[in-house]
Amino acid sequence: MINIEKLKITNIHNSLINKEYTCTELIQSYFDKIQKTNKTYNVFSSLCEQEALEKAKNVDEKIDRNEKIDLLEGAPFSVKDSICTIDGYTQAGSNILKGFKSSFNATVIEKLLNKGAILIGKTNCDSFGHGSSTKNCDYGIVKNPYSLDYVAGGSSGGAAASVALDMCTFAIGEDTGGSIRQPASFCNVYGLKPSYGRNSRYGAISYGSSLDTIGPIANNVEDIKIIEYAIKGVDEKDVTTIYDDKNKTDINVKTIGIIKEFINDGLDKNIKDLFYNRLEEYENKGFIIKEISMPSVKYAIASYYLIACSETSSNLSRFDGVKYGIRSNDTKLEDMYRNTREIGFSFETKKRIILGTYSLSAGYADKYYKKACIARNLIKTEIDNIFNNVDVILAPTCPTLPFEINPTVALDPMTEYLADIYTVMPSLTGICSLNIPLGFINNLPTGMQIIGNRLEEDKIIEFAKI
Amino acid sequence: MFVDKEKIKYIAKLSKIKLSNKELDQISKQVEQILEYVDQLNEINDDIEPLENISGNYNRLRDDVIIDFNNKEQILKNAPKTKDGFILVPKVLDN
Repeated sequence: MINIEKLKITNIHNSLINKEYTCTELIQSYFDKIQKTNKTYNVFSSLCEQEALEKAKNVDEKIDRNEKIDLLEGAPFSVKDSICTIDGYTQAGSNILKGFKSSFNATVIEKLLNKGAILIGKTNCDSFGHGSSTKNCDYGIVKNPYSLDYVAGGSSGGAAASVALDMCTFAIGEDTGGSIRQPASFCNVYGLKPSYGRNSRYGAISYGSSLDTIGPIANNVEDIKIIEYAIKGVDEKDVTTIYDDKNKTDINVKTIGIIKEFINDGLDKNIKDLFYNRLEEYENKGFIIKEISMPSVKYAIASYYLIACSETSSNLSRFDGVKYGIRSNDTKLEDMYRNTREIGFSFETKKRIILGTYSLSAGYADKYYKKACIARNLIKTEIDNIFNNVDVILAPTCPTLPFEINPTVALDPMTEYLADIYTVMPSLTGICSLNIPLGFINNLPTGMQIIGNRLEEDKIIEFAKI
Repeated sequence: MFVDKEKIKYIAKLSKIKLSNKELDQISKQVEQILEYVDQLNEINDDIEPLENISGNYNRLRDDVIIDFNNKEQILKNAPKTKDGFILVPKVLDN
């Protein structure tokens, strides 16, 4: 038996080329772990065992022939269900895509497969990314790896849990307003939301197109860097991808900014203590901590939900029962559209489509959608100014501990939205942010974000190593 | 009062979603709550430009070249109903 606990990409690479174990043995060990744990935690929605083992065999043959293998070759990874892959199903956590198999791979997936990484399965998420707990997943809720009574977070809950539970070496998730960072914090792993446009979105099932990003989740920051370097770059299939050829020689951090508006009564006292302890450690290492004010951040949640829901109401019009997914039995076209979407969408997805349609509709677009975009500009202008004075910003990832699956008092939907307060700001402004583990409170993990300016992934990744 | 049930019913129709009475009640209530919350945006001055495009790219065009797609079969397999290599849909125009 191979000990797969917290295996790093470089460990695997060295073990494979030193013939300590075969790739087939490695992949089999991960599937054994999945077999044992998936029923309990509900991490995977579909598996590609046969395909993965065939690929492992190819890697073994290459090694036997003494051919050079790539660093990522043979490393097993999982992919969020809302990202298209030819192997496995792509159901976006939604009933409306039940049984859907993609005819192509997302660009980032294609890049990883070309480097020889091995896809082992698709992970559960809130349907279309609509949620922060996977309780809106039509294929069941993902349980927290540290306590079965709590959620793994969302929407990339399965992705974060798959890494935390050693069901794969790394995961690819998708983050629109915190969907990589928040589950990463709930599962005690690292998760990177890249700058908007750094990684291609081609093949990601769109939620909010001006906010969506694809990024890696891993057990350590070295792996985050390896994966991010493998998947980034301009893609002609995604016109929003941006050239990242600036010669960024200065990745040094001297000044750390803390947003004063983030530290309020909404932040759990124990998380606040852990956060300040960590700040003190940085201060002792010689970093300058600067308190900064960002008055417009109070509009971030309102701006985010209006923009994300407006975009989702438009993006999800493609799910009409015609070309893919399920279809109602109606013989009249209009009935078919309406009934297919009634059966196929989760309650939360319907609510967000309706909110979005409302905020875009005649007579309301100026009051809601346009105002949200004005607020976005205000927030963006403030963040640009802040990065003139600090190198990185540190912030908690979520103001609370992981949510209970069956709370005694149900959470108010608006209160749930407000818990995204720390993660939506980097999404609205298109900058990058990395969740790193912060510590445990009552045996539950919590995380912290290292936020960097646009395309300054190298800076936040290097800072995370300190 | 920001929104009433009739309005939500109309919006649901525009969105081509049928809602049960229970869903209509819940969504009306929750959307109202959200709209009350987002109303704070109205205190922001209108003299700022709305920001819709964060990537800064505009109309990056590529050459109009045909690229063969070799997985037509899978596309048809995903369709709920097909006939002779086409996707079958209910009649679009009524008599």
